[in-house]
Amino acid sequence: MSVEAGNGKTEAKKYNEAKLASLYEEYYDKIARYAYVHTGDRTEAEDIAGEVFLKALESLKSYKERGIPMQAWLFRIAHNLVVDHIRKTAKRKIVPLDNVQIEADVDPVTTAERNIELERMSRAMEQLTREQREVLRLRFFSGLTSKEAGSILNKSDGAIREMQRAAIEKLRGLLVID
Amino acid sequence: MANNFDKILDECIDRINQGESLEVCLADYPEYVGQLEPLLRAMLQIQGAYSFVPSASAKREARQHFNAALERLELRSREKQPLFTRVFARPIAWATVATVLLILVAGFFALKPWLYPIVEAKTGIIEVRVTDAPPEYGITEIWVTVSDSEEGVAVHKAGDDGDGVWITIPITGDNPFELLSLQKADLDALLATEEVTAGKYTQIRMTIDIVQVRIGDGDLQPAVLPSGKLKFVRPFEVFDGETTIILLDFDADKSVTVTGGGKVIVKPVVKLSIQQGKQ
Repeated sequence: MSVEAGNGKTEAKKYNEAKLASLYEEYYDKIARYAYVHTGDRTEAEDIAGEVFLKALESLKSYKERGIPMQAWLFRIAHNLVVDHIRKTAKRKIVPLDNVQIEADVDPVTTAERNIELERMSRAMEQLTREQREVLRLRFFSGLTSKEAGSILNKSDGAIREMQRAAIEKLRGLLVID
Repeated sequence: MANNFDKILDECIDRINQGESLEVCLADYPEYVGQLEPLLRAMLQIQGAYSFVPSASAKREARQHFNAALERLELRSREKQPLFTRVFARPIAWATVATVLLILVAGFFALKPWLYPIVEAKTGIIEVRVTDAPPEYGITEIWVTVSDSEEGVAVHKAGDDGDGVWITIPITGDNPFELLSLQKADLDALLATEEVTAGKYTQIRMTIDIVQVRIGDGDLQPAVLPSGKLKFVRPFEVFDGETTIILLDFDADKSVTVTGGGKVIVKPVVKLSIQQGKQ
């Protein structure tokens, strides 16, 4: 859509707002999963997913000028928010007691096993290159296609396919998956 | 050759992401099964380690914030109008504001007598109520059975010596109760009530014995309940002649997980709120 002064500019803005709103249902979940893989915290992941759309709304003007697919642009915003969150994770959050959601006591064995598996997976992921990790996060956990992942990472479909195969093969070797 | 295999692997990953089974994908490429299967199984194991479904309530809340931000943007971009036109251009908004004000004023005068106890007594009433937030997975019913033992619903009264005592609150409401009917009607339901000694209390305990769920029109099936013991460390006070309401808001969306194999796992996530001093 061409951007021109006056009514054309207003229409382009409205178009982008409508498009962003239309992406919400599908991409909120994908972005939340992407954030969860980075942070390991479900509540933070949900907060980040919501924040992505608010930030996107604020920055719609800058999006127009860049010309990348809006989906890819949302994931770049998500990545930046995730990086910010990781920097701040040492800061303790105080929550009013009335608002605390308390889970029932879970089987400690199940919890421990899950934590061990997560730890094992995280360590193995660290052995991948940064790009391989991002490919897996976008393809496996956010459910994006190779084309969508490629537009986010500025890579061709072929490069994405090759990276994902190499990443799975390496992880399989590290985790000794049968 | 490698390029072709990469494309097939990529296609299978897409199909599995969309819900297709690994076996169906492998059946389409029998000549590649030896290479394909280990990688796809590895993918499933990796995905399983980080499985996460965002809650519908968090998504809904974020959507509300987004819609509000969108509306603020639209307001800012509106052309300037005479004050009179701007103010009275939204009769529905004004009607809503007027209604809310009326409710607040009426509520204030209705509650005023409750602020001052009119009966001198040494006991108060505890009511334990339950409510719910909606789940995903097409779940249509969630039946919860609370233990009818003395550990079913109990509160801990603080003692002067620091030990205190657990007091059972008898279940007087429906047991089992169906959570989603509460959510649909935006209600809470009385589960247990008892007249107890006025004073300070420190903990609330509930033990869930059984949870059964219905998905769509299917049969009622038992859910796996790793632990049904809920304990809340939350000080509250029971006042003479007044009712203290303990509201347990079950987040069905966060509590219920349906595995790929159709197994239902329930790990209760409950938000506690206490309303004190009602008569």
